[in-house]
Amino acid sequence: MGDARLMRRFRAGDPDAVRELYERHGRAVFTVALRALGDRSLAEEVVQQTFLQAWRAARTFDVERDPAPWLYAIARRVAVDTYRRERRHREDRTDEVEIVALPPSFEGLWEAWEVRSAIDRLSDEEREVIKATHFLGMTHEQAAATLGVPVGTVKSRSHRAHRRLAALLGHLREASA
Amino acid sequence: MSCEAFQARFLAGEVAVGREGHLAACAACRSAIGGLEALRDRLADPLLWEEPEADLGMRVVAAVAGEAEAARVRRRTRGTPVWVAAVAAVAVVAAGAVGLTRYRAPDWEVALVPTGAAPVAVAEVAGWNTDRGTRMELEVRGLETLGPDAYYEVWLTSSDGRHVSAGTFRGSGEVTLWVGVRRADYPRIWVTLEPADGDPAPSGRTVLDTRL
Repeated sequence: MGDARLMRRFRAGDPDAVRELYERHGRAVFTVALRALGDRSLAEEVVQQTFLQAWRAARTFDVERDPAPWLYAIARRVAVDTYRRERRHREDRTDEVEIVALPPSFEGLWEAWEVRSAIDRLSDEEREVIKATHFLGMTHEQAAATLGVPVGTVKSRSHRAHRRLAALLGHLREASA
Repeated sequence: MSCEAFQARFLAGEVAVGREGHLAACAACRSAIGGLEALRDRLADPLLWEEPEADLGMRVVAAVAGEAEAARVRRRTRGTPVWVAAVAAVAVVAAGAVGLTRYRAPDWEVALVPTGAAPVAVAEVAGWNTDRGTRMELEVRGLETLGPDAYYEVWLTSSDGRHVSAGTFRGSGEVTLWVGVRRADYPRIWVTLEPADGDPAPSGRTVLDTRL
């Protein structure tokens, strides 16, 4: 389903469109929330609130635009609100107006969103190889043994996946150069 | 070697700076090295690989679809006499317009009884059977509000002892839960106090349970 059609259906509250939008962007929202707040339970709450707020704001959203940056902006705002609420709760404060500097965990959220979104655009097989080599630190041989495929298959999947990641995330490299 | 192939190999950690002829001859790739190294660090970040609970998508769908349906009912009844609005709302609910369970009477209800770990707690669960599993509304009173280091978790257990998590919450109030199994197959509903230690198994610290 194209983005415009998906967003028109999302705006109408179609459960299938909500599910598809979540499938496309839910993990990236979760990554942003978890990085910001460091708590899985709060991160899941942020995911749910993000999609609810997106639905409430969807009638003003231009369906011809890419929904990803819009969803990211909502997710970040919900994470900030959640952080401030939890901080007030921890400190047992009741004053609603406060200016709080956000912690370092709120830096680099856009990059985290983009990297997670790029990973989610890989095939399952490519993602497994990237996870095995980067996150788990495996060699191609170890990844092949773990995934139960020949080393040559791991190498070809790795090359394909890294080419895609390098292309999908080129704008981040330019920004950080 | 093309720039695209070089950058893919560099990102994969397969080439060393200073030992690659392409790099010496290519200013574009030399300027990309710093960004690729930063990207490699990001790919190794454990947080990036954390996955949400499997039922989170279902909870998101239920929350949005439920609110959308409530808005539809409000729109249809706006500006109409009260009795017409009431009839219209009942008609929408009865028709099950979008196949949601939000306004339907529950298919079952059960009271949970407290254990010694939370002697003043009480809870009631209303459940709706759907073709995708079970939707539950849990209303809890008398449970202490937890901080970030712990949470309450709702479980369903089958007759042969298999547990399925239905979701988590932090204190008294109302919470909507979805689980992909049927209550008929998982008759026991219970609530545990869980430390936020990443262990997905029940902690064994039961605070509310079904009287079977």
